[in-house]
Amino acid sequence: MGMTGRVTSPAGEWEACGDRFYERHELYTMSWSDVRLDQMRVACARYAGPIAMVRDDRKLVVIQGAATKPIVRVFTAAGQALAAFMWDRGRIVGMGWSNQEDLLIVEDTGQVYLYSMHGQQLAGQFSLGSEAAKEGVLDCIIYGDGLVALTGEFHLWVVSNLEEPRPQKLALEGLAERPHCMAVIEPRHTLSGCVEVLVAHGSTVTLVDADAANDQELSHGPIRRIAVAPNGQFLAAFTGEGKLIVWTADFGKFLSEFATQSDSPPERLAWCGTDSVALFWEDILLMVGPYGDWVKYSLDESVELVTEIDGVRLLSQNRHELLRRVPDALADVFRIGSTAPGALLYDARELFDQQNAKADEGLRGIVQTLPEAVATCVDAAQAELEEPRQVALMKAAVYGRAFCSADAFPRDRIVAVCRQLRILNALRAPGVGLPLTAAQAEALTLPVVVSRLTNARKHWLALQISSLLGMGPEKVLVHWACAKISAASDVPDEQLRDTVVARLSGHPAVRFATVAAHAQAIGRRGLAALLLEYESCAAEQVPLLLGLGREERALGAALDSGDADLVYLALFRMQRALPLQQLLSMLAARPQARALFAAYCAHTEPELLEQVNMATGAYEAVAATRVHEALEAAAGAGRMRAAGSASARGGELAAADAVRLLDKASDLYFQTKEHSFQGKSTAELARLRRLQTDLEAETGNACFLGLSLADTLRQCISLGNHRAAGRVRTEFKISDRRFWWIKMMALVSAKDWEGLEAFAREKKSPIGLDPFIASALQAGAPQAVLSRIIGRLPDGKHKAEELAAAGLLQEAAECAARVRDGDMLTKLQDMIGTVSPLGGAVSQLKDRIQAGVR
Amino acid sequence: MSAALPNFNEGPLAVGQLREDARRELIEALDSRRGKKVLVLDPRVSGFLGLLCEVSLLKEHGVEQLLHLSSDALGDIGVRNVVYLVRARVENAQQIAQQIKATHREKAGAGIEYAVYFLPRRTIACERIFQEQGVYGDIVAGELPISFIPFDSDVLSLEMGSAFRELAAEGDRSCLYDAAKALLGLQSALGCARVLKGKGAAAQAVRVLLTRMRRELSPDELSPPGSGGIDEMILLDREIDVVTPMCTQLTYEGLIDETLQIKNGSVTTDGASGSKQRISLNSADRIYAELRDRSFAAVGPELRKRAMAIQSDYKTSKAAERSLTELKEFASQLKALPNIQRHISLAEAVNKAIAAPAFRAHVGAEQAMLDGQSADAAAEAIEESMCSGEDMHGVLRLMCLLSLTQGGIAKKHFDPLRREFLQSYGHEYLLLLSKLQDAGLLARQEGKGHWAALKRAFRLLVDDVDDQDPADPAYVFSGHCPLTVRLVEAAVKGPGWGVPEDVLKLLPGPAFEIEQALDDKGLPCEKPLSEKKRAGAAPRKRKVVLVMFLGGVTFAEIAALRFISSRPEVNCAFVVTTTKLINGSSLLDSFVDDDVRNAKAFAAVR
Repeated sequence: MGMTGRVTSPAGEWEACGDRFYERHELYTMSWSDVRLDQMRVACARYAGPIAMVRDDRKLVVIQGAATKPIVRVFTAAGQALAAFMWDRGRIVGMGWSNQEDLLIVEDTGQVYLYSMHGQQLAGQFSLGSEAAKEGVLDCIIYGDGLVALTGEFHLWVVSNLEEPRPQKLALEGLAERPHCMAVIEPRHTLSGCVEVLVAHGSTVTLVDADAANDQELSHGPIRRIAVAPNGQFLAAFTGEGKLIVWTADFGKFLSEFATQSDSPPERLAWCGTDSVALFWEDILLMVGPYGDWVKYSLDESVELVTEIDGVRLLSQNRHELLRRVPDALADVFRIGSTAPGALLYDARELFDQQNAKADEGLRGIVQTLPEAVATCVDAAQAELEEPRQVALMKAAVYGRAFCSADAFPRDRIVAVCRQLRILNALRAPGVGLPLTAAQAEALTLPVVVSRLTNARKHWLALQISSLLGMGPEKVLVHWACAKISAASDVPDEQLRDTVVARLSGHPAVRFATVAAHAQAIGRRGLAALLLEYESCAAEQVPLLLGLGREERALGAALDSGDADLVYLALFRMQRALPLQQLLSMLAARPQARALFAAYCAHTEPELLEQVNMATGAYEAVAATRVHEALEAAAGAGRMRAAGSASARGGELAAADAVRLLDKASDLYFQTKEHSFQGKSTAELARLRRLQTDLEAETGNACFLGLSLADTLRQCISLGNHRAAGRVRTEFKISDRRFWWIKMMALVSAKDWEGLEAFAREKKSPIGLDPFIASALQAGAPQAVLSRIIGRLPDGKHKAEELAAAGLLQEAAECAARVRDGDMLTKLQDMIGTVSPLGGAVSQLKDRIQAGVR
Repeated sequence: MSAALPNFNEGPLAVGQLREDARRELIEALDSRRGKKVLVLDPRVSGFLGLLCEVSLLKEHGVEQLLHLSSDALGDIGVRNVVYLVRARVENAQQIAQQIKATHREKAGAGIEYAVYFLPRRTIACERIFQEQGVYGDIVAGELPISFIPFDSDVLSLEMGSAFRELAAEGDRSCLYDAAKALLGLQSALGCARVLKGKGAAAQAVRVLLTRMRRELSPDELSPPGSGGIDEMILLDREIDVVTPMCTQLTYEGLIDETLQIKNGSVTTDGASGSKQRISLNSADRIYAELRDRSFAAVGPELRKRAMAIQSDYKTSKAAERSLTELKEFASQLKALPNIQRHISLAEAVNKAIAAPAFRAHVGAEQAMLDGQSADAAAEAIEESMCSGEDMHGVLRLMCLLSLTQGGIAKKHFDPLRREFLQSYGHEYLLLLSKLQDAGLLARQEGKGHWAALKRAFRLLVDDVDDQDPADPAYVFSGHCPLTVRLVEAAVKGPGWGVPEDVLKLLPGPAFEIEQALDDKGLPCEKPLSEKKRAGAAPRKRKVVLVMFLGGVTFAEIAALRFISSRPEVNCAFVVTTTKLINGSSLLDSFVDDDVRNAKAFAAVR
């Protein structure tokens, strides 16, 4: 191994703060040249993202020249220009970045505009609502997923999902003056899962959410600055008494207090990671640690403070720095006089590189703790931002690992950390300008880093990283294709398609529809159509085809997909875009689509459906609609009748309506030969309803309407109205058999035994007597009745059995004797037994038969 | 009686995960609205909701009150959040819109927030209703991707009650999309089957959708074929065998369903003191697990034997002479006694229903039709059952069965039977008859039909079935084996469908057997079955076969499949999936429109 230049220890630049160290690390010298940061409203995206700025109209500046319109400018963290565009809309009251690194600009009217980091306006602009517009927006806090706005009458509005922006008013009421300051606790940190806002007013702070505003009843004088830690657990406030106070985020616990001896509040207050707070006054940066220890830095220029999870970034006119607590592993290795195993291992490696024999000695000294020493060096390398030091630390780790037993330290980890460092160093390069620390990259996750790179149009790097991570390249490729199309406005459609297809095909998960949508959005409809042919997913394809005005193709693709929802999407769009006649002719050839359209129309536009059905000769469908309407009218009539006499008149009208509708239905059914049965049946029903109305009028008894024909007849019989029954019978030509059945059943269920007997005697029954007997028996008719009805049967085995089944054992025995049925008698004997008097009698009968036989 | 849950993971597939997933989705939906809320339920959802979660769980997640979906104003609900759980149907969206508008009218500015969760996904048609009715801005719409509901460790249902009607009568295939999506999800969760067979138009449509959807999956969602627990999947269109549901099921479970109606895995009976009692019917009840699939004729004796055994044990034993272990065993037997008694009273309730002459006449008529009796005799039997006041569904089942077994109802009987049916039960049912005709369940006779040929080819009728110890699945209908079951039986024995092609052609719709595979680019595709796979060479491992009944399955069919898998010559286990657990009556009832029901409900009281 060759000699390397000596790597210096960073410890000399550290500042001690209590038992911890803090370091200021210069990330970049800004490459911008014409920026006056102190005159700007600045918005820095978290996780080392882009920086947006616009002239701050709250600051008094001399405007030079005639340029009165402000310009919004976007830079990378290294100060490379990404975009600049003229702002010709209203007054800006808020500016910030979403988690997707879209720039949100909020106007005082409550309009919110979205821009990409490249300065393109994005779809999805929205308004905070009429109330906010009326009152005007004073201030706005934008956090990753949403925003909170303060209106002119001191109400708070929140939009917690930028994808589906729905402004919601928070429960802040009755504030008389503008709050001193505000801070947001993001939903992911709150117990309720909803956003909470800290509002400092008077001498207290109120915690506001959608349901309540809780005054925390503080008495520290007016709170001028407030900030929530990046983990959402703590909050820091600068009070009117010049104190910095830290609480848990719910004010549940007071954590620390630090007197700054400054009356004026700091220009900025921000958390540095989660354990210390940075305060900035003109030329002083004060950093206060958790136990009241502090470090003071003098600055020669004004800085913006940007909180990160492991530090705070200081952005000034000329420099971009990271101030952070030195990670433990680095401190272990480089702290002056450190005797931690990691430090000793690092020293040993240095000696080894100098070919100094003491290296071996050093190593021997830590042989027990070697795995720990290796781990420390790896962790330190991971946390380190300077490449030479990373290399030195990694070398120390590898050196130590060689002397560990095989399983004492996982080799994979060394490989993984090297890979991660390679990625992070590449990202940190000024040309890329993403100065992420390892801790930030882990919190953000590398797939998100890849998508950010993609958004930043660093496609090549994004592809390299995703292949290093084993991620699919599809998203990067699609984004590349879109960017390619945007940049190639003079390339013909076919040629551009070939370029894109050549690069994208062979990746099954690539969505050509996304590319096509982009082509369409920038006005290249021809290209969009060409690209769509490569899309296999109908859900992606259909909406775009519709957008391109290719309705028929879209409907076909939707039908092929089997997804009714897509078919509806196509149909609705076609209904709007095409004349009805054209739509109908398109549907005529596609029964599936026609059925879905009809089903929807039946619910929402019955008139339209009817028009279509009449036009196409589908009379039975129209007739069915009439029947449905008649049924609804009938149900309505029934409901009104049930409700009592007050609505009786309404019931009558509805019933008459129903009959009229049935007549119409019948006529329609008769239009086609195959529906004559339906025609007859609806006519018959109408007739039945009329008859029922008559019967109710005649009898003064509202007990007929709505019954079936059989039940109507039954009702007549059980009311004893045989004249009416006769009328129903003749009017509807009910066969004898059926009439007999119905009347018999009606008498049985009314337990009209006398009537039943009389009916059984009335001429010869077309259904025989068996149903009479069976039904009467089942309904529990008295034995005398049963006896008389069964008695009408001719003597024989059958009669004897029926008698026995009815429990008329003696009569059964007598009958059996009369026809000389010995077997039957034996059976009866078994049923009765021989001890009872009846049993004796049966025995006698049996003997007599047997005697006779002999 | 608390609703004991079956052990969902003791079956051929660990389906418990599906229930857990569904529960999680449900809870996430509830938690998405903060604070106390009213839950408004679509009746199509409320039924199976009880199978997924307990009321206490709903309460834990802030549900104060449960309401059924209606279009009336909400009234005084006392909370700010209203959450709707509904199937994504246009009429549901309309009702919700009307309810919200009515509530606004009554109480403007009550500040109620509405969230609508659509099962299994939100649709454009529903959202358009909200837009047209002007309530779109008042609603937060979400979706609840719940598909298969586990009813037991080997029974999953999509609970889409109108699937058969939509497919057979209305030509609406949208339910197949949801079914294919559900099967796709099932395969992602539990493994992708290599072999896919199917018969019937609906099966073919699902196959096409399934392959398409597999191709649209992203690589990380894709489970490679043969990677999981499912070896083979058989898709069956209910339309290939509608005879089976028209027949009266004669297993214990089947008869409970026919006479007392099993709803969402439980049955309600009259308890001892006239109170209603709900009994859960699933494999958590060991006695039920053993008896459910047996012929009802064997259930009475079996229950008696068990009860007697315990009692005689009790009588003959002298506690002092027993060892502790014996006593413990005995005590656990005694614990089973109340359960045995519960089944005895359940069996008695069934027995009472089937002792009625009408029931016996009905089953007699049914079997005569299956045997192929003359049309005149069958028509007379149907007429008689109408006259004697059998319930409407029973009569309709006979009419359909007659039509299905004779290739339609003879011309001279067709109109008179229909007319008499309408006159007996109400002309309102005219539209029902039309729908049944559209679905092919009722028809005017044209030609002879295939029933006789199918009966022979599939050996559907079996004489001398031993109810106590059957040797053939035909016992489930006392001598009639469901065609679907014969088809599955043949398909698992192989090779291929195991049925001559000309016989398969007698059934409607295409038949297919393919392999779900990956092409050389790793993309999902279909391949023809290799000869080896076709032969289904006796695997050492017990094969897991998932059977999907598109349009519903009866308990008798499930029993018959379980019976087949218990046979030594068949080395496979079945998981039954379906759009809905049905019997003939519930299937026919799905053809009745709501307005018919309403009109009937408000007829004069007889």
